[in-house]
Amino acid sequence: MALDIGTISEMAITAIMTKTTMGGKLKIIFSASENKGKDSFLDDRFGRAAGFVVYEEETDQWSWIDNASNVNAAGGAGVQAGQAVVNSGATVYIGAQLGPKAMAVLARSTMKLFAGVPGKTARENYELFKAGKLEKIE
Amino acid sequence: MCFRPNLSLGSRNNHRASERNLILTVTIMSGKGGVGKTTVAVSFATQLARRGEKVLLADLDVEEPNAGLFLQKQRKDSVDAVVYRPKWREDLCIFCGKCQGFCKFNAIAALPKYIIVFPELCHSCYACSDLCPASALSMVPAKIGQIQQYSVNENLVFIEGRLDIGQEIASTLVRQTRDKALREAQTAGIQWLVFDAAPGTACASREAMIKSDAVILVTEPTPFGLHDMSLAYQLAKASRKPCALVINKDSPGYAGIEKFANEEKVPIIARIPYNSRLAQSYSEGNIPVGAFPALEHALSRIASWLLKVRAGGQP
Ligand code: SF4
Ligand code: SF4
Repeated sequence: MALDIGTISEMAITAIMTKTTMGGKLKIIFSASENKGKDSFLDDRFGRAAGFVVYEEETDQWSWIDNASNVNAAGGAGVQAGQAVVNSGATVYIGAQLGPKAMAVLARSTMKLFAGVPGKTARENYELFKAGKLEKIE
Repeated sequence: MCFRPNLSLGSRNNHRASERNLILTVTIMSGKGGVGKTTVAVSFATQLARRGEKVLLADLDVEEPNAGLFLQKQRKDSVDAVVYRPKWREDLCIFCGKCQGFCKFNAIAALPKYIIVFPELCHSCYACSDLCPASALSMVPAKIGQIQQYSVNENLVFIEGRLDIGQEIASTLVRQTRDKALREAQTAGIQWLVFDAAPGTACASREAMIKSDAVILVTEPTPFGLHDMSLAYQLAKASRKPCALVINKDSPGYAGIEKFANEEKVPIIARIPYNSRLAQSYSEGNIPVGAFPALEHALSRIASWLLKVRAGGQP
C-alpha cells in the first residue's frame, strides 16, 4: 500500500522536475513587501516578509500569499514561511536570503532557489531571472 | 537517582498548601543583566544562612547561571535535564501533512515526502505525537542541560540549572530546576527558598514567579534602569504576586524610580548604597555580607518585608 503511494508521488515529482527543466511553464514565488502584483517590491526578509507574490507563466496571473501572521511570530517564522512557500506549489523561488531553518525546509523541496535583487520589483526580478542574471541560493 | 522530567502540569499537586506554607519562596529578578540581581540574591541567601535559617538558593537563570561563582561549594548531585521531542518515523508516515498544523510552535515542516522536526523550536507539548493518525511521531528523550545540587554550608543548599549551548528554549529547564528546588526544600526542611530568575521579560521568569510567595525586582537608579525594570514589572504584576523594588548601587540624584514606585504603588523596600569596595569584592567573586553594614541592613529589610507578606497579605 505505502509503496504504491510512494511510487506515485515519486513519479509526480519527476514529472514536475522534467517540466521545469524541459522549459515548461513555471510558477514563481517572490518574497514581497507589499501586495501589488508584478509591481511589488521584494522584501529582503523571508520569514518575516509581508507576504509572497506568485506568478504563473501559464496563465500570466499574479497572486498573493499573506504572511502577516508571521511578521510578529515569536519563533519559527522561517519554518512557517517556508511551509507556505512549499504549499504554494511554485517551482522557483526568487527573493530574500534564507535563514538556516527556512533553508532546511526549502532544500528538501524540489524548488529552485534564487537570490532576488532588493530594491527592485517582482517583475524586474523575473526579467533578470529569465536573462539568467540571478544567483542561485545554495 | 533517576531524574524524571516533569512533563505535565501535574506538579501542581505535589505540594499541598499546608506543607508549602512553611517555606517562604521569593523570586529575585531584574529588568536586565548587570544591575546586581545575582549579588542581591546570593547575599540575601548567605545572610539568612549566617543567621541560622535553612536556605535554598536556586539559580534559574539557566542561560547564564552565575550565582555559583560567588559560592564556595561542594557538589552533591548532578542530573541531566531531559525533554521529550517527536522523532519522525518515515516507515509509518502516510504523508497527510497534518502534523505541521498540529504544532503551535512552528516546529514541524511537512514536505510532500519528508517531515522535518526542528528540535530547538519544540516545546514538548505532545500534540503532534498524540494526533498523528499513523503514530509516526514518537516522543524520544533529548538532553537539554544539567541540574546540579551543591552544599555551601550546613544551612545553605544551592541548586543550579544550566542550559546546554545551542538549546533555545529555556522555560522547560527553568521549570525542572524550580521543581527540583521545591522538592528539595520540602525534604530538607528549608525555610527560605530564593529563586535567582533570568533578567528581562523572558517567559522563563514566569515559571519562577508562579511558584513564589513574592517577587523582588532589583534595579539601579538611572533612566535605563527604570526603563528595563518597568518592563519586567509588567510581568511581575501579571503574576499577581506581592512585588517590591530594591534599588541597588544607590546614589542620590535620580528620582525616577521613586516616581514610578508612587504611581504604581509598589514599595521600595531597600536601598543598597553604591560602594566601590563592595563592587571590587563582587568582581573578585566575594559576597562580603558581614563587612558592609549598609548591605546587611538592606538585606534585613528585604527579609522583614517578606515576613510581613507572609503574615498578612499585602504589606
Ligand atoms: S501527521 Fe503523522 S502521518 Fe501525517 S504527515 Fe505528520 S508524521 Fe506523517
Ligand atoms: S511536541 Fe508539540 S511543540 Fe514539539 S513538535 Fe510536536 S506539536 Fe510541536
